[in-house]
Amino acid sequence: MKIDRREMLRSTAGTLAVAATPLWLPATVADAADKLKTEGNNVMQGYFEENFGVGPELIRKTLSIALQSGGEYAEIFLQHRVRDSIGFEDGRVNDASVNVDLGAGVRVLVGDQTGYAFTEDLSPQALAKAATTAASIARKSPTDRPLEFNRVEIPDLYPRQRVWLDVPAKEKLALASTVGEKILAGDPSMIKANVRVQNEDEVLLVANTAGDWVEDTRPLTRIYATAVAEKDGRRESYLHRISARRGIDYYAGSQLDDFVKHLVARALQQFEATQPPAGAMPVVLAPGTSGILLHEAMGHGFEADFNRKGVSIYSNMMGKKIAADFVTIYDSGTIANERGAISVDDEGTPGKETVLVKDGRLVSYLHDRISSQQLKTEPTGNGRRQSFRYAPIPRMRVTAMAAGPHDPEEIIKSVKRGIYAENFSNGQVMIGAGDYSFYLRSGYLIEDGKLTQPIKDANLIGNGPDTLLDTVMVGNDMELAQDGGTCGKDGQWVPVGVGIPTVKVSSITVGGVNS
Amino acid sequence: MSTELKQLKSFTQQAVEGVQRRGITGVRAVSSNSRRVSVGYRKQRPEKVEEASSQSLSLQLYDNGRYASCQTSDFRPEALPAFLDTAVAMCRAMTPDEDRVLPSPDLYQNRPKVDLQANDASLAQLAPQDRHQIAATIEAKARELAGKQAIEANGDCEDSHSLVYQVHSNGFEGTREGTQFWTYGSITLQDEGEKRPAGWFGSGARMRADLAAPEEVAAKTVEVAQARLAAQRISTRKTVMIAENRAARRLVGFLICAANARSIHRKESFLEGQLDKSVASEMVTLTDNPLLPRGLGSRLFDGEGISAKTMPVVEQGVLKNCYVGTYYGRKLGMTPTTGGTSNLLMELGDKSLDELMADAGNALLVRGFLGGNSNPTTGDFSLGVYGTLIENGQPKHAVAEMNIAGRLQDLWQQLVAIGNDPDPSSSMLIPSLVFDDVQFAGA
Repeated sequence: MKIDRREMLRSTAGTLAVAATPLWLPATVADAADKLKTEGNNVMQGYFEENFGVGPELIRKTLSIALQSGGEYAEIFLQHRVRDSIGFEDGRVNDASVNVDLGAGVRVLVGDQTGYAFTEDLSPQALAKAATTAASIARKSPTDRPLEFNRVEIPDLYPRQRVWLDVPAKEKLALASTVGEKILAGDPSMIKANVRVQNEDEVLLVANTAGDWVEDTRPLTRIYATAVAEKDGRRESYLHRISARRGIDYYAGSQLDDFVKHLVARALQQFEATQPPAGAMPVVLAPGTSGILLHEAMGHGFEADFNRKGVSIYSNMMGKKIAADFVTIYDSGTIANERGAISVDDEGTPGKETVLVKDGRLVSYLHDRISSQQLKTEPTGNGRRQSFRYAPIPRMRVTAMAAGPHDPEEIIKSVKRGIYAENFSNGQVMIGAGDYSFYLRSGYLIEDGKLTQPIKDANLIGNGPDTLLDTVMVGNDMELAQDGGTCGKDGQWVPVGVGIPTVKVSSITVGGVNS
Repeated sequence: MSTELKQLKSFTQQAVEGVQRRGITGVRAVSSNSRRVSVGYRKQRPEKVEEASSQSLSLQLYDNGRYASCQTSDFRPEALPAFLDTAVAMCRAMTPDEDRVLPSPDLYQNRPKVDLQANDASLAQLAPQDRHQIAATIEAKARELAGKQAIEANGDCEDSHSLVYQVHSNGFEGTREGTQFWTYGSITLQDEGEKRPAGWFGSGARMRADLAAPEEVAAKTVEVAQARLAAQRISTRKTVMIAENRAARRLVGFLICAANARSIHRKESFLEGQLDKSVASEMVTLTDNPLLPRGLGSRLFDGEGISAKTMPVVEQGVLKNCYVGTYYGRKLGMTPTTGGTSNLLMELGDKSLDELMADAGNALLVRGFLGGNSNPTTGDFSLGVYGTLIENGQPKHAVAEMNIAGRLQDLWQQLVAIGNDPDPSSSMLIPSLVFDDVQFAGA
């Protein structure tokens, strides 16, 4: 629906919590949801001024206080986010929750030193107090100067018909019950379906003393479900997820059917699966979810906060050849509707795509404002934060490897004895040592070039730079994962995505068992 | 009563009355406010100074089997009515489930009357320069101890105070107030080639006086990093695993997660049906003790208002009690105990880590895990590990890029020795543990 912005804002001089009500209430109060409706370009202007009285004047004043002790740069980040979560268990939708978050974070920089404070109260007094606290990182005379804001142009990456706040409760509940019921009906052996549906709408504003002013709204939706099956007294379970920056239209068509089909098939396959043998062996990564390898083994090590301090194993490798010619890795904030997409990062840099490894050569790190200034380069749009309660740091968005020259069939055929790794759940990395790991939920043994015995539950561990050198074949079948993950760093969690074609790594240590 | 608590109480009670006026009688409300300050040092300058106060109100509504929860950080009185409308409407949209009820008021009775010493009043006297001093000392000392190999060192100091008020419409009321103090060191060292292993160590306590000295935090930090220099991957083998105290917590965590009514009801527990059966070596005794003075997990009542008491979880290897909250307890026909851990104590052995290593002879000392996971339903696990190869009871060299795998049911029966060295900076007071015949995957 497209409505006029001015009119919309006049009609919605309500309060924060009102914005949450249309989630669950009928149309009589649903007009409050208009606050989060957008003009089609998804960029809504004046939201915080209209609803909470935080406009250019107050922001200018707050930033001026922030520079009162001689800071070089100050920024305010305003955020209003409404999340709901619906649970299906024991054959019914029997629990739901809503979480409302509203606040502002003020950051002051002096070189690479940061002062940070936040407030959940958007009154002028509370903002002034936060700004005063953040200002204390600096110990000089005021650096205040006249401030004119310029609107930063950003792309529209999350086109949608309805914001989540505008979706009636019964439609959201139906998502959970549909998935749950389909799982239980998926096979006679299914004894349990635990489903959770999570949706959110977020509005944010970044303004800084460089004069940037940017506002954005972001949707996010995710379903995750566990299926438990029982056969001949044995029990197996499997967890699967899907996620996107989309509205409810994401789940139209065959999306939910495909999701359940994948989940049920993998749960059943677990009965045939065994833990793989232990030791180092060739690993073929299936396209899509295996991109977690890039996230752990390379992506984190490429984050510029680690590199500007020299604590990443990649700190001395800029410009160097670190992989074969057919290896190109990038991190993109601009793939529309992806879970990791951001039209603008959380410090006001518009969304970009950043090539990290080009034809085997390391060409860029992932920067935020601090690191790009220190290393004298442009910010890459990777300054992200969990919420207004945190200062931004370099984070990944959607990290992927470009398609290569090899035929996926040929890649599998080239392996005499190894594993085909298909689905993953989680991973971790040690930045300086370069060791990474990721956990395989399901896959197959490869014997004499063919997929044979299903395998499950094995941690794969390796060393980032070694794995890059050991990447010996890259398929022509690049695929983005739909089960996007959530990445943790310094206690902050942000949504991310990955993608990868079929890839052969000549040796990774597989945490299996030997009989 | 402090002004702070009075305000919290009055706002929370308004919320409860508001829900009840809207026709829903069963309400659990928890509100809190907290303040946290942190200072991080790098190159003898503050790298990051953060300070903020935070507040939260969460409501759980019970309406004849219908259940919903809502949380907000917006305490403006004018925002409350709409928030309550939301909560009530959401609750009414749910499918009834007869097990969604408030806890039985019987469980609120006999709340212990002990001083948990959770709140350090001296926090108010902590001056900004004290924090700077601590963080700067950790960084400087760590750099000094590591010498030329140090690439980067950090010292951090953090403290927080929180006040929580909880009220249930069926007769529960409680408050808790607590402080926490944490100091951390981290250091990155130059190793062979491009490798730059890092070490990290933290000390945490309820009382500032219980914190390790900054110099000690720095020394431990450097020790951890140095133990990772020149790491090698060794061959795939089955051998003795010594899990160092901080690492051992993760292994205990898997067991505790499975001993929870929620996991059992959701068929995501390898311990289903194991009550009163052997789930670990006879050496294992685990107790949940919420009343430990100064314990990081201490409490007089849990999130459901259930009065705290000491609970044996595993006794001489036998599973004696599970963590059972009201909802999943009703689902499974189990009496509620408490829904989650407070302080978890393992009965200690009498040997230090050095003595455990000497006894083991040849072993792998696991100092930490890297990723990995377990399948909660089957107990299959596979975890990345790093540590030290032990030969003839002595550390030989650092080990990295290895995995361990097996079944948790088997692993816990393979436990052969327990140390005397729990790390105090955790609510899980778990010492170093020794397991026989563990599958390691390496080169």
